Amino acid sequence: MSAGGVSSMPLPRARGDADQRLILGLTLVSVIPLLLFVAWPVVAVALRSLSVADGLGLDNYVRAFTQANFWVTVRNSFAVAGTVTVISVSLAFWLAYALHRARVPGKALWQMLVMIPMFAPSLVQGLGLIFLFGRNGLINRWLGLDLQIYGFWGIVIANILYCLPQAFLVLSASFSVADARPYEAARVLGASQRRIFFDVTLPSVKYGLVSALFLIFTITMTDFGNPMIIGGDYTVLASEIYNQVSGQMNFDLGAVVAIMLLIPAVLSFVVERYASRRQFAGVTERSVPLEPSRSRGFNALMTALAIALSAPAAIVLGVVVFASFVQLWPYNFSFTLKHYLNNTTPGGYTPLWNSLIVSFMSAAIGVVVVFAGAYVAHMRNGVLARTIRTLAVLPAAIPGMVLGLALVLIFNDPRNPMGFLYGTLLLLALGNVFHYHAQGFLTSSTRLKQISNSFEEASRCAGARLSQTLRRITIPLILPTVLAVAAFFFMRSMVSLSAVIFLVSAKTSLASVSVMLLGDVGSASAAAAFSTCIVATVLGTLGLLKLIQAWLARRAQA
Amino acid sequence: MYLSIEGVGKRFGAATALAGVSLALAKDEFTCLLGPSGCGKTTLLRIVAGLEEADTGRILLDGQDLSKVPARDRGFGIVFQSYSLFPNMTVSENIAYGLSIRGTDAAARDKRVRELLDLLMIPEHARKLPHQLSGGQQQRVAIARALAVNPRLLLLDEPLSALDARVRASLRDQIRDLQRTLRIPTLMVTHDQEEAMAMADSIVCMRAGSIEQVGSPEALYLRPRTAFVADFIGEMNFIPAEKVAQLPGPLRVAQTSAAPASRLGIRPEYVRLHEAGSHAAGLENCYPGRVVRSVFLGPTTRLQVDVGGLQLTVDQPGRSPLAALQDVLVEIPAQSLVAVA
Repeated sequence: MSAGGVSSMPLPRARGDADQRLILGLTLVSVIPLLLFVAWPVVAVALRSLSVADGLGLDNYVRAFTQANFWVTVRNSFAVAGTVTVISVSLAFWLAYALHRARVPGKALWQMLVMIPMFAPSLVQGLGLIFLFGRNGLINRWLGLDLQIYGFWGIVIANILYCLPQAFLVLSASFSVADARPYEAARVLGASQRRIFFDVTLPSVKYGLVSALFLIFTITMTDFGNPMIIGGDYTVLASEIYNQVSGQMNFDLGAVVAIMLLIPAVLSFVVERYASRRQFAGVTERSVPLEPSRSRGFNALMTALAIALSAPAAIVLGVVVFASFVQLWPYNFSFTLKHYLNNTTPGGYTPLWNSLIVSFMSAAIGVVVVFAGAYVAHMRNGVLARTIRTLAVLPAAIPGMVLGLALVLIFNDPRNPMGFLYGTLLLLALGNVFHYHAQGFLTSSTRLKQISNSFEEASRCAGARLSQTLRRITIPLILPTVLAVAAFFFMRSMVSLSAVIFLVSAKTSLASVSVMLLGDVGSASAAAAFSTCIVATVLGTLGLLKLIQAWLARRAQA
Repeated sequence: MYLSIEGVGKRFGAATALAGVSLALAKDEFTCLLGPSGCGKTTLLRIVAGLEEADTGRILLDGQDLSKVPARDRGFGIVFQSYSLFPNMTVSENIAYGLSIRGTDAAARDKRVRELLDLLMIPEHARKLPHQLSGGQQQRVAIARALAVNPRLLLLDEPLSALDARVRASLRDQIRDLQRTLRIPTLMVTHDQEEAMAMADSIVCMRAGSIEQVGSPEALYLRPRTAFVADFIGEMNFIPAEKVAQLPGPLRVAQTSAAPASRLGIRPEYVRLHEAGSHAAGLENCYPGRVVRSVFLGPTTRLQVDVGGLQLTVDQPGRSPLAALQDVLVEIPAQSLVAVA
């Protein structure tokens, strides 16, 4: 290397278009499943809702709309969704405000408590409420009251508990990016605390609020577990699909109701996307982080608020776990394992194992599909990337029950050459992957965007093929995120009910379905035991993930 | 010529990044692409690297057309502004990256890595991860990584911009010395004229997707052909053609330019000031004027002088005794005047 005459080192030759082939392969891995499990299902449900004896028509809609109780169901759905949205977003707003703007002792604990409902099937809230306020609930028995929890208020309270963490996550993100400068400017200009709240605080989180409102509306509109467990005779659209399809085998009307559920979900999804894109536009690199208030009275008030808002969901879950270990709720509180040992569900604990298998499959398939799509969308521009991005986030607008129903329509069709998938655990796993595809995809995309392009370019100039860059640089860098996305798919699959309810059979039943069936027949204690198993599995997996991530981080530091 | 850029054009949507640029680089030469942001210099470097595709034109290296050669097969070394070291690899692994891609055996690889660590004076950092290094150290590693494979061409994309002033100056001289010793043909992008002057054999001054002037640092500073080059590299007093007639006396110009010139220019340090009423009154190109402002900057004093309505900036070494509102004689030496377009 002393003289300029030294020739540069040669590269291995004749590799053809390996890079092109890799991108093509990854494109197929992401696009084909998206078409199969996202685009086709939407079309299939729409077509089914329009199918009549001699082709296409609106007969099914006319039939549904003229049924007396149909509009009652629609009104019920909107009443529940509206009430839950307003209340849970308001509560989440104050909780996020308290935790971000005040010095609350034990902040991490309250933040963790509030997330608890995410680790259990949605219907666990309903189950807990029944233990507390049901006919044989603690309150009614102890106080000799006759409170009626079944119906509108039962669904509403259960869903508020279920939605609080999800609204909190969105608002928390808004509050956490605050810029201190406008607050200081307002204070210096002499604004009162009240003025500052309305003129600075509220505008700075308005997109987060809009985002949360529409997100919660969709979740409540399409939730199925709580109305089943605690709804009583109060029917909503989500339970109506179940009745039409599972109860009366009426797929045509089921499809009509599915479309009725899909429309508000898509609308609110569009608004939510729009708002969340605006969310962080105002924050620049120059932003100064906001220090929480030091006022003692304010901090005490906010601490009380944080405890009051984060405790109930934990208490409700605690009651479910507790009830699973006692002889006879609420009369005999002596310890027993009988609800675990004498499992009365068909198949015993098989559904729990099925859930584990399905969840591992979802995690493995989900990670591959989601990262392949995110990688192709990241590396490429134009129509292909836009198509992938659109299809990848579309599942956020498709209620789980609609997707599940569509998969039955598609794969239970004898003409479908892939019909062999029907009735397998694999199809259940695929259903979960594409039900939760949007969140997994967005997480992966965000991480890939954070990796500087110059790594990839430096690697390319050094002579690396795309596959070498992926193996040696990109994958090691995104590994913690890959694990997190895998854990996300695993946890969601463990607790998901709506996407799989139509797909399970006697042989392929899942844990969350068992909880619903046990709850439905009044075996609340057995349902509680099953729920506890699910929560324990999910928390155990989460703990394992944290250990692995800590190990990876330590290895990177070494 | 070693590297020939022939009519390279590039558009991004409606915006023209490069409007048919042609350029030739000699072997062993250190060339700087200099210009303000948005002038197309980085785009040109990325096209040479193969990271961006040109819409028109071609690039030849040693007579070989590079148009169909992908970046990874060009055998170039590249250093980016942002530290692009692979964060999951140690310093040694980063430097060895290109070699391990080429399947070089471990012993040869280690030997080469040690050589480069010594050359860039960072042997003690071999086992560290990038985030444990300072910015200057990271750029040294990036340079070592680029040099490891004996690149046919070294590309530097604003390699010093993210560093603080002191580190920048020392690394600047070091890169320059390294390039002279190894004689690797080098193309660097920068927006800092001082950096370009200090490092380059040849400066390519660019503006809005086109080349304004190519030449040695001396040529660009002393004989700029356009007002843009004159103004971008250093400072220049401009005397528009119509103002020349308004001067209280004739103005002789020693240099004549072939291109049609619209104005004359003189650098602030070449304007001479004499005491009013001194013998200088009879000199060529000497006019009465008045000091408008005097600012002491340390090594120099910057004076603003009014000559019959024409404002001139004048730099004098050290602390100038002249104060505002003082009458002076302003001499504009004919041999220091340049005619620019």
